[in-house]
Amino acid sequence: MREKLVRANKTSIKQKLMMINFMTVTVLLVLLCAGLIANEFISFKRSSLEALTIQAKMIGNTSTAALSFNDFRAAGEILSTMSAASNIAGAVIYKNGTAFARYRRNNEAIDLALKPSGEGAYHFGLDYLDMTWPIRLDNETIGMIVIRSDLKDLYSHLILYSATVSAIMMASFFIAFLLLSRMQKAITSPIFGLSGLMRHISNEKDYSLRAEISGVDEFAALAEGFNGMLDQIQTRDIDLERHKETLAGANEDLRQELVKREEAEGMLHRLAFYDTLTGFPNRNMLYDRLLNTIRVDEGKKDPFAFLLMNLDRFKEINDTLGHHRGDLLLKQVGQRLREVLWERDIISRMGGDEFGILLPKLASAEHVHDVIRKILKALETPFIIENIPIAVEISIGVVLYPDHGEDPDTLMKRADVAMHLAKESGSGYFIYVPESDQNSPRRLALMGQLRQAIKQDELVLHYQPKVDLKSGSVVSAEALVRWQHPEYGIVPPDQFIFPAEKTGLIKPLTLWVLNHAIKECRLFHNMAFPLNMAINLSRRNLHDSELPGQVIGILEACGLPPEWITLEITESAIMADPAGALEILNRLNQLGLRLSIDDFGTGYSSLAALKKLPIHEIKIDRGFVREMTDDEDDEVIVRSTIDLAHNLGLKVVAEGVENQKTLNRLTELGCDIAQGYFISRPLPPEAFKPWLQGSAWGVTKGS
Amino acid sequence: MGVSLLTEVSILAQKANEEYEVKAAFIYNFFKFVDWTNEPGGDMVFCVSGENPFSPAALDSMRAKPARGKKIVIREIENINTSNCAVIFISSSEEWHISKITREIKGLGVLTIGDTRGYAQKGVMINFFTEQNKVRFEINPEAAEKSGLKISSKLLSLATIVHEAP
Repeated sequence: MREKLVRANKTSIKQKLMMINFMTVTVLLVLLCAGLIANEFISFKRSSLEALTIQAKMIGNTSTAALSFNDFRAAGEILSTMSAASNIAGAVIYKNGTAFARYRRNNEAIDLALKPSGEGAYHFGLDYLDMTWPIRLDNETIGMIVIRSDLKDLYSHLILYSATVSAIMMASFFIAFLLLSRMQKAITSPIFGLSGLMRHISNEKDYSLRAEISGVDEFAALAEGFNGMLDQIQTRDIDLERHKETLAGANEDLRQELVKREEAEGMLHRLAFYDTLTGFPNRNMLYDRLLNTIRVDEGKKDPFAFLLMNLDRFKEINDTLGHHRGDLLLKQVGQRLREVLWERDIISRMGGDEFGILLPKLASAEHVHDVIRKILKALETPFIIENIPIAVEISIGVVLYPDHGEDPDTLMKRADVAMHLAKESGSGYFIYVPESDQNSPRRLALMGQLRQAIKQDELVLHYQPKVDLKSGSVVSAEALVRWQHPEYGIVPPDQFIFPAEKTGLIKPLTLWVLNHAIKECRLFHNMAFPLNMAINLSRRNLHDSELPGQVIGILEACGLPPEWITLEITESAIMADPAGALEILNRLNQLGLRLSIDDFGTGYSSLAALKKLPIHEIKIDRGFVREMTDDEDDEVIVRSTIDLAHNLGLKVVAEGVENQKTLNRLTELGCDIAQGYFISRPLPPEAFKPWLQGSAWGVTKGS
Repeated sequence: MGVSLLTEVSILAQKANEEYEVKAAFIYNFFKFVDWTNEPGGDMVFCVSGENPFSPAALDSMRAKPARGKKIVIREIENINTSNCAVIFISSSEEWHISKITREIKGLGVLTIGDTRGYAQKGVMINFFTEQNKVRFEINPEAAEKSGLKISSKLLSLATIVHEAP
């Protein structure tokens, strides 16, 4: 196949050269031939003319005498001598303008109406030549001779000449063609040689081959150049091979680099969207998830919850135990969260000690309570970080979609508000209510007004009775502060107590409460209702070293012995700063005041810590009490708390008793005191005394 | 009868005049076909010996044009005095001593012309005769040769060649 192609190429270049040769030779020979014939024609004509002129001259000269002496016969004889010249068709001699003698070859019937014209004049007809010549004698023109020569000879001569020339030309053509073909080989064969070699090299990639160099002509130079080029190609080919190897190495390096980069990108992605410590999604990713969840919802408003959680006192842990342990703690917190939550729930570390939890597919808003309880429970057990047990308290802010917001920003902002409220209240968690921050201007206003309210006695104490379950009589009352706002009416305590803690107003507020409650207590005693008065202290009060003195001051002023006052402190308030709290609590205890731990069960106090506290009673959180008859777990908690307290020599108060059944169960469990709506809701002072007097519950009458 | 005779004579005279006019033209042409070995310098002198038969008009036409580039002069001579004559026309009146004349002239290089029967045989070089009403001439080439004259072959081809009688 290849050979065929080569042949086709050879034929092609050969043909081209042949064509060029053929054309050149043909054109040259035809031109030459035409030139020769034309030249022959012209020269033959000229020679014909010359010959005829000579004949005319001779005849004319010869006939001078005959003409001079008017001898027609002699003239005729002279003319007839022209019969020897076969080309002469006829002749006429004129004397004084009239024909003097005539001659016609073979008496041919040719037109001899020849007319004399100028001297030496001639005329070429198609097949004849007429020549007029003067007959002169002694410098005098005595007559004219007109001769006609036919051109048959010319034509036959030309035909013969052309034939001869053509024959020679044909022969020359073939000889030239043969010679050119031979010589062409001298040109084409080196080219074919080179092109064949080149094809072989390009097919076989064998750059070591070289063209043969013979002679010193351009082909030799071409072959030399070709070889030079091959030298370069071979050198480059070798270089290329070397580079190829280098490149392959570089390529491998590059590939590895790429893998590294991909890994780095993956790392960056993780950094961008995941928290390195816990491996949880970070704030950015959580934001995206929130956005996605909202988008997927497509306006169906299927509820979901977002929880924002942080650890209380984490800074303190970090400062005292070191960041390393702090980090380990966060990790473990994360692990526990992961364990108690569904796979679909998204846990994110938002930064610092803050976790965000997205609870999609929430069956109902109420369900969120169960989840929170699970979370609280999971984090209840102290963490062991490098053999150090650490108890943590958390605050959770809860927002519900779509009620509390329909975009991630709003939801996250409001969850933050709720979380801070939870922390303020020490309640562990807080579900956002529009008032929480929608009313924040009002809250600020309230803070401003609270100072006035304290001065102007806009505050009022309500009292909720506590019943001794053994005796069935009212032994105590809890003083609960209410704000009778001139504009807003009753302001709920959570709207001004927590803010007051923040602003420092809590001190005068507590003092006001202490003052009024102790006074009221004194009044009850005066009215022969020897009740113990329970007063709530804020976590802030536990750092107020002036407090014990102030309390004693009031008691002394009222003349009330300290044992009639119980100070209730929430478990979470103590656990926020157990050491600091302990100091104040000890002093209060030394002063003879009774101490009670409020909302017990929500602060996850360690048993060991509890033992150290100088307390006299604990109040089981209403959350456990309310459902204890329906929830076995809650009952277990309540029972074990009672047992625990009793083992520590503490009285137990159950809050949130709302029915007889609970009351009965608490009595069975050996609970000391009960408090709740079943007994009475908190009552204003003017209603409390009638209630005491009219109550079915007995009142221990004192002296 | 008398009238008729007169008319006939005048016709004859006219005929004779015409004949000599032709002969004069011929003689003029002879100058061109004859080469003199010793061609005389000066004019070409045409001499008429004996009774002059040429009319004045004929002679005038003869000398009207030059011949051989020379002026033609006509002279009538009494004696055979050949001095200066290139051509001598010997009239028929001299027939009686023609042999003597030719003998004397021979070798003098003078072209002799006549128009009398037998002249050529007696040594006159060119002799006119009439044939079928046409003026013709006979030539004695030997006589011309002896006198050193060369007569053109063209002229000879027109003439009747005559040899001298022994």
